[in-house]
Amino acid sequence: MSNLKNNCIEMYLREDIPRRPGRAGTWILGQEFKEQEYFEEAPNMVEILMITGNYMMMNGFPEGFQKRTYNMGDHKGGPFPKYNKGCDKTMIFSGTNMEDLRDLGAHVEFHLGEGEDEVVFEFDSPRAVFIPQNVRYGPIYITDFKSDVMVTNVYTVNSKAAAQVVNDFEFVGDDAKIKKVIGNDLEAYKKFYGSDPVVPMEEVVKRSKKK
Amino acid sequence: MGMYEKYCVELNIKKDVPPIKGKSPVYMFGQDYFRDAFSWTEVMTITDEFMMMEGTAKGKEKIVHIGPDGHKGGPYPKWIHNAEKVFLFCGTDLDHPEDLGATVEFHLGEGTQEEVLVFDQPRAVFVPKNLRHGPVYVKDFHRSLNVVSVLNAPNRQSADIETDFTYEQE
Repeated sequence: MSNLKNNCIEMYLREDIPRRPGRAGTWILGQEFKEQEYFEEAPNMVEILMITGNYMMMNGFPEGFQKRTYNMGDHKGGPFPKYNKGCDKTMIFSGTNMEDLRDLGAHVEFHLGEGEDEVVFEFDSPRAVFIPQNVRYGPIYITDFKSDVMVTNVYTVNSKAAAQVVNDFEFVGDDAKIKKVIGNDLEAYKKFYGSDPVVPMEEVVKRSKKK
Repeated sequence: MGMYEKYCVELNIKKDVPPIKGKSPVYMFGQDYFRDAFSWTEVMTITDEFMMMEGTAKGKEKIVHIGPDGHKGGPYPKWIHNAEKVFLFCGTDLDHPEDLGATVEFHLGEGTQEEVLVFDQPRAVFVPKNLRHGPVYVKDFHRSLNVVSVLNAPNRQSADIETDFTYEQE
């Protein structure tokens, strides 16, 4: 038997339980966490996720809210802006409206950099955003949702450990921006982050080993 | 202009004229559009039964596409001499993410070493340097699927892609 069968790779599906409003699961090629088996020859980590409604990423928590961090097994994560200390990354935002692929399907506000260097990209047609090593990125606010938006992340390394992702846990969320995404119902916001949205790592490892 | 302003880049969309049945136009991103790009990435949607790199029948005139740089390509299997490539196949039924929406038959390698990879769930296929790949057949279609390809080179020229014009359909 040829060993090329191994080149057909089952990807890791990272799902939030319960699913967060506005986002489906993420297909991941590469090593998400240390115990996970992955195909080491493939040089780029790639993540594919679908945005299905108004959504926000790396938005932090507003004043007065208890900050939450998530146990990602070998590191702590959370909805905060991030730095990739070990790699460059490209985030590709593409539309799914087959009649008009210039229509992204939503409005995206993407924050890149910090302090005086921070720029805010706003777009509603397909874009790629390049994130250099060591540059903070996030929050990302997705509003005026009309149709699914596909997000493809490509890294210059093939594991999260090599990417050296660092969260800016000190970032304070912008209440007005968050409300623009989810409305004024703060109960909905509490529900959004009301329970640990990530499948407990022990369960993920168990599933991975079973395969 | 701030130092990061240039890092948000409009995606190029390549449209086939006339459109090819079963395939959407292709989003493209790489060094042709952004100097610091590290890979060449394409995103497309398969909307029906479809095939790629399928070759032409014996005796038929060969199809040759000539790019702006003079490079010759066409619907035939390929080798990539200077970069690895990965193809990612994902479904669009978000409530049933394990359903790819079709069966994919991906030919990897050639001669006695050729492996035919068949799958109907999301998969990534890794293509090492210098290994012929293609044809790819999408059949038993029942729902659109997305295909992302990432070439580990900033552009196609530097990847050194060679087309197997001798390949004939079976």
